[in-house]
Amino acid sequence: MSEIPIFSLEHICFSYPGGGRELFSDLNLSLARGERLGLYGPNGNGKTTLLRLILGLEKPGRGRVLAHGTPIRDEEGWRALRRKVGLVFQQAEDQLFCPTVLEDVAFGPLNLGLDPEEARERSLETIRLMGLDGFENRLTHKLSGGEKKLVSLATVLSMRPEALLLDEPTSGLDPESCARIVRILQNMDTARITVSHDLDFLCAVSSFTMRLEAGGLVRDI
Amino acid sequence: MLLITDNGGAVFDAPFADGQSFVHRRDPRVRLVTALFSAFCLAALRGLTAAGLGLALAVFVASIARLPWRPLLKRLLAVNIFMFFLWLTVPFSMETGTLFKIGPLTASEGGIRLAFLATLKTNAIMLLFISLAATMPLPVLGHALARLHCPDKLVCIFILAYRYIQTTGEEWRRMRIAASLRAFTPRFCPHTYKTLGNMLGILFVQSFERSSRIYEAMTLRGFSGRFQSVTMFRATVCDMFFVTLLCFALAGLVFLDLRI
Repeated sequence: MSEIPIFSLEHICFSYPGGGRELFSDLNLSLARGERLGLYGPNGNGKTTLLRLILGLEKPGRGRVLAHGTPIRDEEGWRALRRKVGLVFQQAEDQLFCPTVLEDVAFGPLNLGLDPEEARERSLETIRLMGLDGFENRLTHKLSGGEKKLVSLATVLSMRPEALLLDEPTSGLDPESCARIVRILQNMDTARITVSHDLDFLCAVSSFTMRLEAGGLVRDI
Repeated sequence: MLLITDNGGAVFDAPFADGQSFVHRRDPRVRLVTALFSAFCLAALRGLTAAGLGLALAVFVASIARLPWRPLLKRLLAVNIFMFFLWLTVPFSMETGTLFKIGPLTASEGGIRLAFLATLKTNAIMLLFISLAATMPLPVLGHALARLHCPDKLVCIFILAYRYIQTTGEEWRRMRIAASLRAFTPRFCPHTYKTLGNMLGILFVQSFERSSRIYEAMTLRGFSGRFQSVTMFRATVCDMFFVTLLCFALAGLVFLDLRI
């Protein structure tokens, strides 16, 4: 028997309220430890919505989401899954809400129940890992676009998630910052779903890719 | 503390927060509690002598804090403008001891004494608050309030406001630039009012939407209502010494005031 996936979507149907068109009909997807999926597809086909469905930010019309093989039934279940699966938003601006970088990176670990000393150490370690040494006391709203992206990735990594969901991690970045993100992702064996329009980037950081067609997922060979 | 600058951006102005003086290095929680205690003590004084000594104490603490004098005078000027209006009315609204008359108005000794007392106390409290509470960065103030068991919601609003006032200000500035690039010049006409109204409306809608996105980001990282912090506060012997000395001085003032 194969390993139980970290999370899986089963027979998901979804359409936005009042949106009319059905975004997904009978969509199935799962992610096991160490799997690195790259996801692409035309605008408006629901890539971001798919990530939001996994963490319960959108609720499916039909179908269910399982965490470690157990169906999620209530808010408590979602909360437990969110502690293990991290989502990095496309808009880094919305992810950084604390005054300083250190406070922001430590926000997740503190909520996981670490004491301030541990949270501080883990955050500094994550900041170093991202090559952001010396950024800890910078003000988040004064960072450049690329720096915001890297810090927002750090805020999720400091929670040591089992899986990562990355929504367009390189959009709007210069080639140098892109290369930095690629390096960081290649050195990380955390299971992840990466969403991007940049196929070269996707192939560099993923072990397999899928295309989101109207209504469903198609695996590339 | 909130300024709307000429180019439309908004910033929190904290001119006293940076510094390495003896006061700056004291535990923020200790400073906040002391500031509050001293405000109560000074407000309770009834005699001019005690109030004058209180002001002298406040000047002394401010001098230890080595505050930049220009912003300090600006803040004091702001509060004394209020006192000016007090001076316009209070001396003429009491009956005790006529001093002089301007037309139908009678200035009384008691009234002038009262206005003078209020001025002394207000300036003393203001100076102590600036020296003790305004000498820490705003996020630190937020976290210190949290440690002092201020309600979580208030602390949350305070910290997030500090973070997002900037973003909202920048958004407003971007919109104004975009409008001016399309040849918009504000005039006294319906078109201007309508445009500004639309811009303000968009600002509210965008802020509302942003707040829901931020709330999502916070729940995704395990937020459950309490803003926690890695900032650690440690009260030292020096802090205790400082607070004890100051509180004794204030208690002495109150005692002196009761005796006279």
